[in-house]
Amino acid sequence: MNFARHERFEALAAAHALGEATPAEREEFAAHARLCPRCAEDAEGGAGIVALLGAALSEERWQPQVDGALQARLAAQHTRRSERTFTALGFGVVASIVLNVAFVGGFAGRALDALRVTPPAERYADATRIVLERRAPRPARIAAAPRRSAARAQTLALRPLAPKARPAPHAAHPPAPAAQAPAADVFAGIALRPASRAAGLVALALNCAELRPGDEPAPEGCPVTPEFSAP
Amino acid sequence: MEHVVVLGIDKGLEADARLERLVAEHQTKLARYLRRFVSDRDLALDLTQDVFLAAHRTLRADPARPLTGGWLYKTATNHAISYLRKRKRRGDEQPLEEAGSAFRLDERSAQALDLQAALASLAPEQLACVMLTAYAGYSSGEAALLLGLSAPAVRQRVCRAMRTLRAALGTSGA
Repeated sequence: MNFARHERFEALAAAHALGEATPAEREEFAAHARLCPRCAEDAEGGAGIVALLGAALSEERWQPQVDGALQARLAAQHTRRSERTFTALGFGVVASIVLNVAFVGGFAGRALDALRVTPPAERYADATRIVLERRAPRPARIAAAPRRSAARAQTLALRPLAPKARPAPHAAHPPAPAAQAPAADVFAGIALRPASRAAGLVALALNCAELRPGDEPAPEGCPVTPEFSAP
Repeated sequence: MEHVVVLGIDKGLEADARLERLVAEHQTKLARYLRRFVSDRDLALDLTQDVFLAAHRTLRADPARPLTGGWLYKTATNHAISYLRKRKRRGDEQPLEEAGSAFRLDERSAQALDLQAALASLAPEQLACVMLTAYAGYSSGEAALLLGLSAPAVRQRVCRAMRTLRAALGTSGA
């Protein structure tokens, strides 16, 4: 009898011991057990072990209860999961803030500096540069204001503006552009663009305020005079 | 959005309710079954709780999944086999008199103690087959399904385990 065939009878012996062998299996095993005492012993001894285990099961007196401990473990697990979630959330918020600050303040700033395009010089070639020049005051004016020191007595040499030739409101034909007076104001000998005019006047007013503290009379040529305040 | 939240609460409540039913129905049998595996009462209680926690996780993930006693026994058997293998790997196998002291209180017969000692001498795979068929009452086909084996393989393991048990108990027959 080969080994594989005997393994099959081992399985039949177990089925016999467990009481789950079919009638055909019982007949086959009985025929084999008459010739093989070992398999017969397996079947009989196995049935005894099964009976012993069944008796051990029926004689159990231990009544374990795990529901209370299980509820406690479930509650602890739930608490732990909640804590873990909140901790992860907090770390995420802090990390995002740190990363944002680092990115905006450091890396992004450098990157933007590197990406910044320097404007070409020819783009601003026709821009007007305003130069305020100081001139020495006239001797007669210095005598009229004795308290002023020689350095502070410098006033801005201002050239009165030429009145603009404005077209009549109901003129039938507006004058040709070539015949118009220059639109830009002239300040210190330099033609001011309309956008630069306001800046020039503000700078001039500040300069005059510096030169005219307290109740001193306004120096001649100050832009508060009508001819400068209303170009 | 509200519908999703309500469904989530329902899922949680349904999982809790089904777990309560499973615990009430199977906790005693499962703990006794696991005590036969590990020969220790406290350890058996811990493993039983682990099994029910696994059931709770499964039910929360899929409340519609049918969890039967077979699933619980299968999970318990896997937990017990894992524990026995770890203990064998660590080499800290405790003698039955110390590890299974609860048996001296609950089961005073010498035969029960001998049976427990004999069971402890089996390999975990053979022990699983014997416990599922001869103790838990499953047929060899059902045990094969639970263990992922064929029915003849389960029967062979049962036959060899019973030979070992007979040798350990010193009995030649019934």
